[in-house]
Amino acid sequence: MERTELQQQIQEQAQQVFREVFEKPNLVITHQTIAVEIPEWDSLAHINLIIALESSFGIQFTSDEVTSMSNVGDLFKLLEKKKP
Amino acid sequence: MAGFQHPILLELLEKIRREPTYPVHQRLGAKLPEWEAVRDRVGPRRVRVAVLSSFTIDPIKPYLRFQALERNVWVDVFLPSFNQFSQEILNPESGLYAFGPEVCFLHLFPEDLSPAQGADRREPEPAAVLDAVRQLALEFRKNSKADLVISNFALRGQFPHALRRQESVDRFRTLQEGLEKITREIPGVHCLDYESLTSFHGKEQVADERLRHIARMELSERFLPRLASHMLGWVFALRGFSRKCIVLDLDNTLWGGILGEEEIGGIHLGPEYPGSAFVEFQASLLELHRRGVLLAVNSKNNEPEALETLRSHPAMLLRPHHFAAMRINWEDKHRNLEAIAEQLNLGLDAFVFIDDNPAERQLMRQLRPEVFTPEWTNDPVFYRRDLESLFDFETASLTEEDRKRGEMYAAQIERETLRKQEATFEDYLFGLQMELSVQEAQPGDLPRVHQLFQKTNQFNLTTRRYSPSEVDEFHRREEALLAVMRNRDRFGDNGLVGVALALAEDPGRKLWRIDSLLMSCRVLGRTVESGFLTQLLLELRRRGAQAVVGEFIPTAKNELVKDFYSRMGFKPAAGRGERESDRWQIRLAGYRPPELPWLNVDAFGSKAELPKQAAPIGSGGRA
Repeated sequence: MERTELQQQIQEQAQQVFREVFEKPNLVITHQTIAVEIPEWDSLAHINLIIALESSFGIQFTSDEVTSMSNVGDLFKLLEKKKP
Repeated sequence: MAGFQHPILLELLEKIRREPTYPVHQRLGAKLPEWEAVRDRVGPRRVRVAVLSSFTIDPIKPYLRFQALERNVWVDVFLPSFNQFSQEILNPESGLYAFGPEVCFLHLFPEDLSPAQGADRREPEPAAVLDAVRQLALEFRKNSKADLVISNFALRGQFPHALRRQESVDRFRTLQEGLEKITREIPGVHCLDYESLTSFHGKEQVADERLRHIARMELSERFLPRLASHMLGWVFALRGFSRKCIVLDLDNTLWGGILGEEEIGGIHLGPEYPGSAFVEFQASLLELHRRGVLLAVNSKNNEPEALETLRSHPAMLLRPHHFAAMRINWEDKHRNLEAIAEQLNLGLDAFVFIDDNPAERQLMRQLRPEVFTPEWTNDPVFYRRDLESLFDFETASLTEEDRKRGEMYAAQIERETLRKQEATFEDYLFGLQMELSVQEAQPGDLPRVHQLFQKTNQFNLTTRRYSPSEVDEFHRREEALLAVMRNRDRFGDNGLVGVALALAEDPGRKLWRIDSLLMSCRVLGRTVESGFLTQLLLELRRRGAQAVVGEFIPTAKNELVKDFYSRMGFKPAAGRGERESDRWQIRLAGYRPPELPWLNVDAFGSKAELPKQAAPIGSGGRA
């Protein structure tokens, strides 16, 4: 039970970051969301997203994680793993 | 004239101040082109800047634009995709030249410049690197009149360079000296000190290794704003956007605590925390003062009490004589600032306002957006750091005039006193014992000439802002006369205060046009401007001129000189109204110079060489 609460909290926080970076106040992301569904998600936006996520969660991604992250489901898993 | 800040712009800048992060900069920066409404509401200062580099540097764009926008300056940035730098420079038809930059930055690593490094990845030969830089700079100079600012190369700090680093240091010195030589040889080429900048920031923090490899983004998000400030420091200095005066609040800005609430000994100022932070802040202000930046006070206090503190607090470094103007009262601060501007004869865009109170800052931004009001930390230990991070006081070169400015303002006060004592204005002029020197500009004068071209607003007939390379070109041209005027009197040396540029209009050099005529306001009202123009006309006549055309281009600030040519005996020239400028003409055949017997003149060599008609000008020194 506690675990799902944490998951939900992470997903909400990540969604907030996505909304700010892409400037879409109503954007909803789910495990199934993939990069191409957000047309603004280009390579520079990706860097913005990484930097914004790192500062919001107080974590650091490895270079592998930065390059392989292309869908939101993977991202959620990573955040759960990395969150202090 | 002061205008209200546009609400969109105010809101935008407020967002950035609240959250000055990388994503916020990128996000809001991407929207800037859409905001044409904002563009129209920014003041008249605009500049086109090109950034060329061998790596991805796009994310610096919003930092450049917002840091400038905060200072009421609109910057258009041209930034081609990475590694296009040589094509952009070598091809005269390139996007770079079509954009028409006024300042162009070139940011490269030595490895980018030496194709010889090849497979074994040795560090490139300094000579090859310098050759490549020189070629690029020469090509750029051929195709553009813009200033070119080249970053120097940073020393590496890690092993194997860390302990026995002499070899690296030698290499660095060779590169650095070579680069400086290039900046001396080619006009309008300058060097950005990237080595010092990265050292200060911390070399390990300059790059984000992940982003370097993934996106060829060589610079970290935290370093980008620093580099942007440094670049804008160059842009502002070269375009004359630098500011001249810092206006300071007193309580909790110049010292800790509030006067009136504590005894005079009770404010925080001294060797121990927290007073030590304020002492350091004052020391840093004093250093700026020595470099020619004016200081002023704008504060809500009881004046006698505040003055007493400035005069007699034992730890105070700044004393009343360091301040060019003081407004200590209970008036609105934006009104006080206007009074200070009027007293010092400066536009509002010459001021930086520092106040610890966020409400006062917000009001100043809203009501007087021309004044730059930086965000200010509420922790005094960072006051000095934040003051020294402002690039607003940079000048392309520190001239003798800059170093003496503080003294000059003190001498001005003595002159005013004399003026009040002397019975007539003429007695006052004789009493000043003025010496006027008008000469053709020498190479050593050019930095100051350029500075005056950039900074002079009020006594400036055409306000043409020539770049250093353009000034240099005029200086060398046969059919141009670039003249400089110096002035001293019994209270002090005012230095080089006037510049005139006259150009021959016809091949026989019978008709000349005064393209630019400008003078620092510090010598205004003492007839030296009349003496300057007179000597210029006499010199042109000696060079064979029969007639001279004077131009006047009105701006928001040069109302003062609207009638200058008419007062000097010029007549309206034919074809007026068809051009951008007001044109005035004078025939030199029967020219009778005005009598200015209180000026001791030394013009273009010696007095003796001047024709007879000039006699009244040179001979009058009653003193």
